[in-house]
Amino acid sequence: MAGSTKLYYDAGQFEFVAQLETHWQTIRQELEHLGDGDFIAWPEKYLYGQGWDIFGLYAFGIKVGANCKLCPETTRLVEQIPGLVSAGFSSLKPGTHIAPHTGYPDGLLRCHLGLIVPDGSALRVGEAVRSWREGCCLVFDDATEHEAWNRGSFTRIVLLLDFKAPAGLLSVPVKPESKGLAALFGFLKKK
Amino acid sequence: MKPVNNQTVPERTCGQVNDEPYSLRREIGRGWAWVTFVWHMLTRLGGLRATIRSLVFLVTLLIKRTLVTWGWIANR
Repeated sequence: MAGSTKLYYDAGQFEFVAQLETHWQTIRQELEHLGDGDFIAWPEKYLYGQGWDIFGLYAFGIKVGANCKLCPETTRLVEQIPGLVSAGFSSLKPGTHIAPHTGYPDGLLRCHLGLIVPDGSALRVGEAVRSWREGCCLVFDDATEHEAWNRGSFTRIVLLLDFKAPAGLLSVPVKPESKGLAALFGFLKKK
Repeated sequence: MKPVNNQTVPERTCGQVNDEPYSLRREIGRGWAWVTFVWHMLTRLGGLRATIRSLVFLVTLLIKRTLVTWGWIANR
């Protein structure tokens, strides 16, 4: 779908999705053995206030060894994903709303595997709102503006994955215009 | 594409999002949040060797992304 913006991608076209969805209960069992203290708050608090915590397995291609030891089966599954960049559990407490933001156009796609999903929690990508379903994957382009919320009665948790998009799948990225020192750390800034 | 489950985007309530105006103090605060986050992740990498290897990787990534942002190398 080169040259146009696609909001959600057909998850079935990615081979690893079937593996994850087949073993989603194993992943959830490992998740349930984790404590609240294993999660840490996502640093961009200006986007959500409080209530968004993560448990990282891979961060920007770096293996978070101590966390991976706590979730061996999940680690084994995510390590089979071609082009994996980041992986981990993303937790959203009731009443949390992550404001609209966009990721860096890095040629990545984001996959959410629903693990614990209350009613009233959903994700907006572009103009399209979708809810997660337990045991099912949603795939979208993180570089498209998106926001998420949990208006449910318990915490929503998904397995979050960033992986390199297969060639030709993403629209052509816009070349950044900024130069100089401001651009040096510009990639960290969410718009 | 229509919303599923009849869900629409809810209003964000006051206090959920920090709308503090731009200032050096705000930027330092945001930067510090990243420092503490990365520090916490470094303590979970599983040993000194893994930590050093990861720091080298991160610096390389930072340089590479800067060059991509400046348009000096292609984003592959």
